[in-house]
Amino acid sequence: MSARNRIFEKLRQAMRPASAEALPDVRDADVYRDYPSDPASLFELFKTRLEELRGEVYRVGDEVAASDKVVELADSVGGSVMVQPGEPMASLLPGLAERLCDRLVDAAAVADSADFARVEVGVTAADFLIARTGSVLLRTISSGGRRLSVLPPFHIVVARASQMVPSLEEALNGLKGLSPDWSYAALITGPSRTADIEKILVLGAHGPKRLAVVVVDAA
Amino acid sequence: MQEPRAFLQRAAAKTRDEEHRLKILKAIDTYTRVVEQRKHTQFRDWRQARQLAARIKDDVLARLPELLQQFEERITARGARVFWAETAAEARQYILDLVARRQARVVVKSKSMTTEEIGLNEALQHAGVDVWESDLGELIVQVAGEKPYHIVTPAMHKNREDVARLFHEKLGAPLTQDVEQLTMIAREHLRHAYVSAEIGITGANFILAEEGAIVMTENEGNGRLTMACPPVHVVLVGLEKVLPSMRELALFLPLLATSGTGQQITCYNSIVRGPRQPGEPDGPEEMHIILLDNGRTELLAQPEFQHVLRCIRCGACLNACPVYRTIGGHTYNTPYQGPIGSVITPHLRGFRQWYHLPFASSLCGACSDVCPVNIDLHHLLLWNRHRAVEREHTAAPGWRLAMKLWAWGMRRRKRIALLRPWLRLGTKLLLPLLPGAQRRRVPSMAEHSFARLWRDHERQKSHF
Ligand code: SF4
Repeated sequence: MSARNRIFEKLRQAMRPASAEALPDVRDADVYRDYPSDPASLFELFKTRLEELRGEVYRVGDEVAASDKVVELADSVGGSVMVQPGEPMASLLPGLAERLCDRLVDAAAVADSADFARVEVGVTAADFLIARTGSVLLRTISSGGRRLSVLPPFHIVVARASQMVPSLEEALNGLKGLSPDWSYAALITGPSRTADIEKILVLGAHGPKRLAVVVVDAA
Repeated sequence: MQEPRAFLQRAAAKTRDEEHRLKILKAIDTYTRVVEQRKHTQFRDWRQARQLAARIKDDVLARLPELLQQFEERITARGARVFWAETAAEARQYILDLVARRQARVVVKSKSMTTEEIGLNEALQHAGVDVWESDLGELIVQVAGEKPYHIVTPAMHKNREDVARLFHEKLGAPLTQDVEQLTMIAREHLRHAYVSAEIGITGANFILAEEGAIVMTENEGNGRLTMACPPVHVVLVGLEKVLPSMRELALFLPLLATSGTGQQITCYNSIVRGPRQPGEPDGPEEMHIILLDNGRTELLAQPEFQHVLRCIRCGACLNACPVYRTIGGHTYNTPYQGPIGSVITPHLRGFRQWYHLPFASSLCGACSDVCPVNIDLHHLLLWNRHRAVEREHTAAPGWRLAMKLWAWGMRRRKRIALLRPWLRLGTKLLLPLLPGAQRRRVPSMAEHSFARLWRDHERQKSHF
């Protein structure tokens, strides 16, 4: 008998009937403290939460302003920038490539992880912004793979205001509704951090030292 | 030396180490402050949240075969391989075989207490593999040649001076007491590990049955890098870590973060459903998930103990425990320390050597009070003591005989009176001989019994 079968055998023998009572259908709102749900306060809540964690949040009126913002942010650190190829970035950030010129690293040219060492800024989209926790939820296929959002020291997320949801519960429900051909999703809440030495907070332990979220208003 | 005796010696030494105590109290005070606050700011009713979590986990434990099978099917369908390991040795062997097949020379790990449980680092090093711990706390204890001090905060016992000295001596880094610079030293030190490692090994905090996924929670990003860069990703996880679906994460992620570190949610939570899929730009070619039993099914089979499999390894019970805070994490000499460790270790590793752990408790119940999944830890400690006595593993020789005499004597008022003078004499002469008596005040028995005092009192009254 294989280990698998033996373990299953032991599990089955250990089973006792589950309680007949159905699990209570508890919604997020029953467990957590109240949070507002109108769009304006959602953005404010998101901004407050993420800024508490030393993330940066910018709200811009349209795509052109979004490009401006990304260039400005990239300028603030200098170095090379890698933008997630294809849509939705092309329409979210019109003309970005021309404005960054030779600072732009072609994603196709960065094959192995060592090449990433020269990328200072990673720019990606996201699937959801979560107001109550100040989090960003993204999947590999919506945000340029596993590495782009974690290897470069500065991660810029560009998302539309309509992607904002109030709570983690809604974001996870939303994730279930998206196309399932992804292998990896990350729920990101602030820049990388550690408090392993004397419980003192340090940013940029291994992941990005800076995280900026640019929220584009126009639909 | 026998483990129980060695335990006592280590405990005695640590208890007298004031520097150690100051470091630990400082860290735990900070922790307690933020956690208690977070419980109130985040949850409407913390007790309700943890009751719900306990119910969900109990439901899972009653459906484990079904849920594990679902997980296996779904993640295998996306190209991951699932291996069932009945023992620590089987899990180690699977990884060693994988290392040999991939001809791996460098392995990068993110923090995982389950790998400590199976003694993976020693096995890999023995096979000539370069093992890099990537979590800052884990790196610190690895460089120091120590074991993790705490399941969540492995280097809780090291202050910045300790780390500065270590990094200077062992990594050749410039001497600095700046915590940020020390963190950056670790960051630079590990960058090339991610890039050069052939295999990345992580644990998992949750297994999702419905989505066929594993979930890993962390703050530093070392876990994400470990799952993103190397061509092979290995996950070692206890088979009890199942949740029915992603939906439950909306409760369990905030719950774990609150109890673990006092955060609303940890910085990074990764949901992994397999190796790189077609159309994805990167990710590992191979993903292996090792589902570890190693005594868990035996715990499940015992009605008194099965609730302990609700544990989400948040570390709250360690921080709350007055014994842990006094004797420190290393004294336990186990991968899981504190109350949770004292409950499960004798079952996972055998009572013969580990029966003493449940006795290292004041049974104050602080652990049960803080546990986010409502495990009745202090009662389980009591159950373990019961087991230990039943199996005749007890500390002092003659203990059982003494207890029997005690029980005989206590059953009748007359016998107590009869034994009293002897007990009084006995405690006076014998208690000071017990180990540690010089450092404590030995209680003495009252000169007269209450019954006698009462009698005298009544008699005096009648004189007036
Ligand atoms: S027993 Fe409870 S408090 Fe202790 S680590 Fe497990 S979940 Fe946390």
